[in-house]
Amino acid sequence: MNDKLVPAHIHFARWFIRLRWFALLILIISNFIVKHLFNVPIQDRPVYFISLILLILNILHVIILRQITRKGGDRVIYWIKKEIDLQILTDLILLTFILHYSGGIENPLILFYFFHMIIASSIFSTRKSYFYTIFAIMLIALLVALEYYSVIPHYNLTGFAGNNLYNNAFYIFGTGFVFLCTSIIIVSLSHMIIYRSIKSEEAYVNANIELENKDKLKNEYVLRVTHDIKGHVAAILSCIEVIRSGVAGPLNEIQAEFANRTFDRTEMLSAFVKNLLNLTRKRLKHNIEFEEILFKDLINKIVSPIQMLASDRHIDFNIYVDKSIEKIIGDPFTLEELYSNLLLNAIKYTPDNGHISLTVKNHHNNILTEISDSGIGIPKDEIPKVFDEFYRGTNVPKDIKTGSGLGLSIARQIVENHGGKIWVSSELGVWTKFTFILPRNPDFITLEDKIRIDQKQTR
Amino acid sequence: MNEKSKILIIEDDVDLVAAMKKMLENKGYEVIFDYDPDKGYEKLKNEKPDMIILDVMFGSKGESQGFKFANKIRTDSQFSGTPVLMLTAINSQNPFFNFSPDTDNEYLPVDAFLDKPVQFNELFLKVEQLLRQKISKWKNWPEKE
Repeated sequence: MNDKLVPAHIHFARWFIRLRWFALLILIISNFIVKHLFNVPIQDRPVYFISLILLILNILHVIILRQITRKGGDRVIYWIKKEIDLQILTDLILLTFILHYSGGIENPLILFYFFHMIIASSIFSTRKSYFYTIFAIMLIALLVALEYYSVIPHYNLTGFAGNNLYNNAFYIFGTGFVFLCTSIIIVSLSHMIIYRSIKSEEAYVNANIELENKDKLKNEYVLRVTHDIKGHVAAILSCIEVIRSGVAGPLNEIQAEFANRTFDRTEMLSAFVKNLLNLTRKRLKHNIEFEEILFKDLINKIVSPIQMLASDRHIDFNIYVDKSIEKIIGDPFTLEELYSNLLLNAIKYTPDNGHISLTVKNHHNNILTEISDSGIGIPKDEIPKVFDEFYRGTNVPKDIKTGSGLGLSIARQIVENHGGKIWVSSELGVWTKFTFILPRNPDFITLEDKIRIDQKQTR
Repeated sequence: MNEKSKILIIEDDVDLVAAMKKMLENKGYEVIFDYDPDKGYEKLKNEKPDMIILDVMFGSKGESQGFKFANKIRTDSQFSGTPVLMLTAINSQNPFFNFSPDTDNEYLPVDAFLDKPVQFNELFLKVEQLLRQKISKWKNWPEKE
């Protein structure tokens, strides 16, 4: 359960950092404008200095977060939460200093504390959310008290707020009371909302697990049924062959024709059943064994049969493989199947004298493959359905013998079993391009890579 | 070949046996068969075939009667030299076991494999080859060839 929430936490921390860059910019600009355009006597130098500290801290946060996600492991959530702790604590302290140099309680900047309360109560437990609220209130109270008793100087916002509000106990008490009430409401409200959303996320994760179980049962059922059908089909094929071959006696022309039709059709059924078995086994992750593969060997193995087919039909076959890609960890048989499957598909739907290409590049720690052709393309509204079982393009000419409609489902399953992602883009009648991204090591995908794969464009 | 070579088929699919019998007889072989491996073993003793076509015959629990049969004849000095052609779907990765005829032969002492559905041209080729070979390469199993 926790594991599934990891990316959300990372996005949260990143978004927090991004927001801080923005806040920093606003802080510097508004500091400048207030001082020089409105001539309000705030202490601009200390504020610039604090901005510099904030800048350094934010760079530090970026580095720390990168370290955490790169390292991965079981404790990622723990460390990300700690990093968010650090962000909130440093922010609150710096904010108090800024407030001090820009008018103390007279400055509406005091509202900024609420942001951190919302963020804290969204991620942390009830106790910790209130801890941060109390911490913030105490910081403000301390600042106000020190200014009130003249332990530290107060900087007036002459021309902006009424003079000496910081010295007005009634004003301080009133503002403090409103601030306290607002804090409590904010924390309890946002905590409740987030709590509900976490509950619903939990329910969603559980429903997903249940769906996966049901799906597994379904696949096991399909496997059993298909296995049985396969036996029957195999027997039928052998029996028809006895008749068709004339071993059971000579056939006249019409008998031979229909024996052949029956044989061909049964053979198609047999191929279909084989593909369905193949897909279902991959869904159930039967017989998947990852090992280290030399990428060069993998490509060499698949390329030459494709090259022969291509040259038979005068199709130009371009190959570009980044030489720096040496090894990949995966299941060699299914990866070969994946590449051949997609390349054969490209040839099948490309007219004579067309061209197909295979491009393999690095994409950070992952490997990105593009297989494109100058073929018949895919109608726009069918693109989301391409990887569905039994999908066949409606624009495929009658003379191209379509297969079982399972080839691309198998391809997608192979990619997913390796922790990768596949998608297609196309222009009807002009070109089609299949792109898939595979992690170099499916057994050890860092969070960075997982996010990169997840976020990679899917259409 | 003056005398007809004798082939024993052990396979539980009645129709597949009928088809193979007809096709092989047409090629001039003598074909005997049994649907049950235990009774098939009796036939082996009585008829002394030149080679055996053996189905994997997976039971519901995933154990293979074909494997048992193959191991049994290899340890029986009388038949340890009889070549065996195994009918299987091993190439298309059976869900019940991780096995490749290319690398794991020593665990399964058969001489050749044939994928189902049976392609008769391939069947004829492999039968001819094993009959020419006469003696199984696993005669001294479990020692290596």
